[in-house]
Formats: sequence, structure tokens, C-alpha cells
Amino acid sequence: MILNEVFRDFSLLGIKLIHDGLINLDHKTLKEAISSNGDEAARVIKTITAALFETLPLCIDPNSGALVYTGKRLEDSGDDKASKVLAAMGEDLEKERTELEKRLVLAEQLISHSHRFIERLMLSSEALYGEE
Amino acid sequence: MTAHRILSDESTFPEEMEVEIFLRLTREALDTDNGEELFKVLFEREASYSSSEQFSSSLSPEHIAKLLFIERKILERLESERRKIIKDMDKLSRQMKTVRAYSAQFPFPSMPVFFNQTG
Repeated sequence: MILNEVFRDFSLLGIKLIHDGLINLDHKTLKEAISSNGDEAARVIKTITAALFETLPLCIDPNSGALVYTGKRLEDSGDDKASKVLAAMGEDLEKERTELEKRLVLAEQLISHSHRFIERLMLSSEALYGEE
Repeated sequence: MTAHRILSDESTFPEEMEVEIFLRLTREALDTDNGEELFKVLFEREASYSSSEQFSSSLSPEHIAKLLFIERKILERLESERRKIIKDMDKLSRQMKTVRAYSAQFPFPSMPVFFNQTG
């Protein structure tokens, strides 16, 4: 619904979204819109660009730096490569955290044992010196 | 006085066998650089120590002082290992946060200031 409104407002300014994520600009219509009511055209462009940025499946291509229309939300499909890689990474990190938590418990246990042993040695020492 | 020199003095302890095992494992624990190995050896030592819990009462004051010195070294090492684990956990948490925030759709964080919506 929102997208339809966005497309309509865009086309009024001579901007059309076409296949493969390309944007077609009708320079003449855009020029006319800007010259007849520049402020309003700028406001519309800013608003709909912000709306597009939030609602359209756009992404920044890490190689070219271009804003690309992906056509379909990657997250919606749930079976894309990126999601799988991210899920595997998350799983590995979770396992690593569990291991570290276990090691922390062991370290704390050993520290406590060591403290107890030191205490016992000190008591023995005090007892020995007390006897002397 | 180094821990190694004290540990080489083990034959003079009473209840020799038990003490020897205890000291050998203590020496191994102090010698290893590997955290996992340290824990393994100390738990083994713990087992041998549990079976001879009262052995500290039969030691001379000099030997108790020596053992105290060694045990404080062990404690120091364990505290340092604990700090290392906590540091690793902190690093891991940050990595997990980054992975959760990452999206293939928006590989870079959004930039709200990129578009001015007030105009």
C-alpha cells in the first residue's frame, strides 16, 4: 500500500522503478516538477526516498557501493546463503561462549579450593607456632 | 626463593608418596602455559589432596611456609586465567552482538541523517 503511494508520487516526478532494481529518470518531467514547485518537489523526493529506504528491499552493494534494489527481502526467504552463514556463525559463537562459561566455573572452583588450602596451611602454621 | 627450588625439596616431606604426587602436580601446573592443561592438572592434584587432607598438619613450619609460597603462586596463576576468560567472554559478546546486528540486506548500519525528513 505504502509502496504503491510511493511509486505514484515518484512517477508524478518522472521517476520510475524498473526491472533489475534500476531507476529510470524522466529528466523533462522532473525538471518541470522542480521548476514549477521546487520546494514541494524536493520535499516529496526527500519523503519518498526516506520511505523507500525503509520499505524497499534496497541494499548497498559492498563491491560497488551502489544502492541496489534486491527485488525480494533476503530475510523473508530464510534459506539464503547469507542467513545460513550468519546462523552458523551465531551457533559457533554460542558454543564458544558455553565453553568459556564452563571454564570460568572451573577456574572459580579451583580458586576457591586454593583459598581453602591456603587457609588450612595458615591454620596449621598458627597451631604449630602456638605450640612452641 | 623460587617455586622450582622449593619443589625440588620434596623428598624431605613426611608421607612422602602423597606429598610427592601433590608437589609433582603442582610443579606441572606452574610449568604449563596452557589454561586447559592447568585446570586438568590442578583437578588431578585436588583428587590426590582430598585423599590426604590432613597432610598439612604433619608438616614442619618451614615446609608449611614453602607450601604457602607455592600455593600463592598457583592462586595468582588461576586469578590471571580467570581474568583472561572474562576478557575472552567480553570479546565474544561483542562478536555475537555484531553478528546479530548484521543483515545481508543492509550490510552497513543505517544512516538516519542521510535523508532529511524535516524539509
